[in-house]
Amino acid sequence: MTETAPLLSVRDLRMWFSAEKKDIFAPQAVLKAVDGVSFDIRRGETFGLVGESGCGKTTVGRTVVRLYKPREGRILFGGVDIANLSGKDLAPYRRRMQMIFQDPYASLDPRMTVESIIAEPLKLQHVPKLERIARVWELIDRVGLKRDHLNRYPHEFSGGQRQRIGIARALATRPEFIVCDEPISALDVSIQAQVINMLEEMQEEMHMAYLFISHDLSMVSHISHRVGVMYLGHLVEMADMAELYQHHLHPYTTALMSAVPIADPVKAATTKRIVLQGDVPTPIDPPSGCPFRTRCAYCTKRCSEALPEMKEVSPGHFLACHVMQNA
Amino acid sequence: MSAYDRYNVDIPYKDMPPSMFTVVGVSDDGDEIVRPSTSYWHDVWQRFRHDRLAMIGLIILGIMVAACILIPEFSDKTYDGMDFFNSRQPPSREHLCGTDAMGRDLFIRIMYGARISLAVGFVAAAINLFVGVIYGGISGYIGGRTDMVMMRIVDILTALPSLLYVLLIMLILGSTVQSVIIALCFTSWIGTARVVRSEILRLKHSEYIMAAKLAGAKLPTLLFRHLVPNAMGPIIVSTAFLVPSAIFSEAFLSFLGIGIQVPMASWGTLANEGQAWMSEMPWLLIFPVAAICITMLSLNFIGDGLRDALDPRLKH
Amino acid sequence: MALLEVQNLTTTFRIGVGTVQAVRGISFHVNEGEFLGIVGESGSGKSVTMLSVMHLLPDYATITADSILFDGVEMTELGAKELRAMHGRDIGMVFQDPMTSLNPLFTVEQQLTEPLKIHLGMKKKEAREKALELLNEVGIPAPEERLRQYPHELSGGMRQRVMIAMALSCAPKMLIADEPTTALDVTIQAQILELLEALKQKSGASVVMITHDLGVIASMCSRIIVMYGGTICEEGSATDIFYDPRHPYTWGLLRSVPKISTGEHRKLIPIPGTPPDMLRPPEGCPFAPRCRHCMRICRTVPPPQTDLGDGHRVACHLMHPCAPKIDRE
Repeated sequence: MTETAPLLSVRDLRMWFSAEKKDIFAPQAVLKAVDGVSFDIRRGETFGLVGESGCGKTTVGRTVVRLYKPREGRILFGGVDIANLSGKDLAPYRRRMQMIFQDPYASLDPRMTVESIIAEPLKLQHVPKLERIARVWELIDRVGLKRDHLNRYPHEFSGGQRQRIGIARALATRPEFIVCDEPISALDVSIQAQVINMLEEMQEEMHMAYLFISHDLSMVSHISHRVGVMYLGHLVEMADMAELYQHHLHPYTTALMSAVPIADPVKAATTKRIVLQGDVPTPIDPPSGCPFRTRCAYCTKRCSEALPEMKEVSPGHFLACHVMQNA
Repeated sequence: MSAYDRYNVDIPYKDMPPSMFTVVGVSDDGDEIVRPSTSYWHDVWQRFRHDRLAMIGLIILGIMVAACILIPEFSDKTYDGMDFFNSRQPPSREHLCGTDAMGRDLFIRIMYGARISLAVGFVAAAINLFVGVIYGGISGYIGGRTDMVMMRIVDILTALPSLLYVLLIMLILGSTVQSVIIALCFTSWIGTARVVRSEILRLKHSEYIMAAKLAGAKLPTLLFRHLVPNAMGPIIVSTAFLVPSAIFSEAFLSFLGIGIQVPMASWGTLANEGQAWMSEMPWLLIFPVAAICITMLSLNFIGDGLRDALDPRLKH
Repeated sequence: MALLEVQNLTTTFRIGVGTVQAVRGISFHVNEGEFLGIVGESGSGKSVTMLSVMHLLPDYATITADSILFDGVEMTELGAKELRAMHGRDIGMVFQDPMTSLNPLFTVEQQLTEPLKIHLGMKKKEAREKALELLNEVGIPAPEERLRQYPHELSGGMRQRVMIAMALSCAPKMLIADEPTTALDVTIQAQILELLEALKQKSGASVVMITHDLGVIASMCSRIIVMYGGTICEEGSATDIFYDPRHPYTWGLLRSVPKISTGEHRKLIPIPGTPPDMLRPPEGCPFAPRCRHCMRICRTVPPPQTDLGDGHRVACHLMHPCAPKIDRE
């Protein structure tokens, strides 16, 4: 983490989807899934992205690896802007960026054997057959599965094993950067730790960077070096994990922190839970100004007028909140 | 009684030898899979095999196919061989299904008819499958405006009565087996295409498709390696029901006299002939119609069995 | 006083390749007015246990029990009709996914008033007033408007509130909540948990909360049952389970959850291996293959329940006097 130039630099990323129209005469509504998000990820670093469902964190992950074409903004990967590349120009970057998916039941093609699943990225990169087999064996050993599993089909494996197959596939092309999109939320508690530990070991070995997306703040806080909190398509706070834990400022971060269940009855009974009122507004018709103002206890007049900008409140700690920036 | 029925009992195993209490530690490396390995197609076959009606259908169809290939080869009779000394014979040992007014053996004509009917059914279904998968696959995968245009073309094709095309094609190309197949395929692939399209629409946002994209897969790989194999269940089901409907349509056309022409004998032609002699020689109508019915039933049983085997969700 | 007492419950499922032994002869009870948590991973039998008690399983399930006594009534002797009358009236249920348990074709009002009309024989107007009252009680803003809406028009948290209102409509003696917050966001989860706690205080009904997340129930449950491989491995008060657990599986569960931390990095200690395939569960203790302290006996003899006093029970051979003394890791 001594390198100064980040591996990935996202600037003012915007990704809008056209929303379903209520009737054919209504003007085309847009769903602003991601609306101006900027962050950096250095080599060997894990950047955690937390937020609730619908906040746009998954869209950020998918756009960064260019499964989607962003509407606006820059995605600098190793210094090259890949936001608008396509086809042949994008191909070399496909090898360097990979993704681990949320649902281990949906992310493996049910009609393919484990071997062909893991070998697919290599095959598409035209790796010769012998080399490919050797690499698949190496990977299957690395994720702790057996070689005689290679001819089996995904449905024969448990969730944790499937997720390890997904990890092996992501590692096949020796990527420098992996987006982990809620990789453990579909797994059993006793299996989650196995997968998290494996991800950490891989990172130490191969010096990869992770974008770790999750709704579970305790897991994110465990694995991430830096964390960004997202709400309704915007980053509202971003800092080193330790800093965020001790000096979180944004009212939403505070609420998220306090909503994390604590597996300790005495501590849980003594900690005051801040329960947010109401639901997340729809991203089709977000509130004016600060997106969080409708649920915020500190909301002022200014919050409904202008969108708060990300400002560095202390070194490495960014905050987008009118009230707390001045406090 | 279950060994776990020891609720509220104080340690009952006083006489256990102490050696039983040596720690041996973890034995599960987590990756023992106790269930036997099964592929999807293996499962499908297992389910299909246990479907009695479908198996009966498959056996009857098998016999029919074997008979219509082999019997004409080894028989001294032909479909147009006339024998005026033995005309108008009711079914007998010599002529299993009797003979017609010109002394042609009906059994052998039905066997030749089976060749034509089954060939029409299977070739038409195969063409439908091929065209439907490509058209529906491309329309569904690319989506957006392309999909819109492709689907509207299909809508226009289905908006006109299909008998119109059929008559037109038969007029232009003449009444041969090939032109019957072409006529039958002209619009019937649309059903398959719609099935494929809706399956592709459902599957194309799957995470494994994203994973394949990230691996660098292009359209043909995505479509034919990932999407189509996963949509194969419903596709096969819709194709399986196309076979009997094609056979039926051919019989219908021939019965009306616009399909296969005499002396060639498709089942429809035979039934048409038999109908004229209904009161004097009822066997001329009964046997071809029975052949059509039995084949239809078998194919529909097979289709039902395939649907249940390929897509167990549809069963309920 | 026990409201529900279950003796030796066994549930199996016949599937194509064999028989899944989902619940294997468990006995437990639910006290009157208590908040009981049932914790376990998927496949541990935690949901199937309660669904078996309610007889809400599909045809291919076989349920046997020596006795299921609910409020003095022997449920194993009841017919389907009487059991159905019991659902909704005496026992309310809340499921993980409200979308699958609410009928998408009916408005909230129709779904809420139906049990009131059936079980309590209310008239339309009366039922509507009661429905409004219930929606108010579960903290739904603008209840008048909500009554007219269809389930898909509500957010996930709202739907779960409607489900809770439905479950509570006939003032049941017991409320079963099967992973009620798993599908929800953390901030919404906090709202629902708070609501459940408040409702329990107010109505005095027993609540059985089924969950895979120990953290969720830490602050609310008075008693906890930990299930693994279709058996109960540990049972006791929340204090017992969290501060004095005795079963290695409970240790493992508590240790593999990360604590939200200040940045000093502790490596997580996972439980090795995978949960057993209940088609062929291990012969002895179901947890033996994954247990660091597994002894020879564990592989062959299922451990009996050991009573440690005050309702703290453990099914583990480590409780035997001959077993090595192992401190909680």
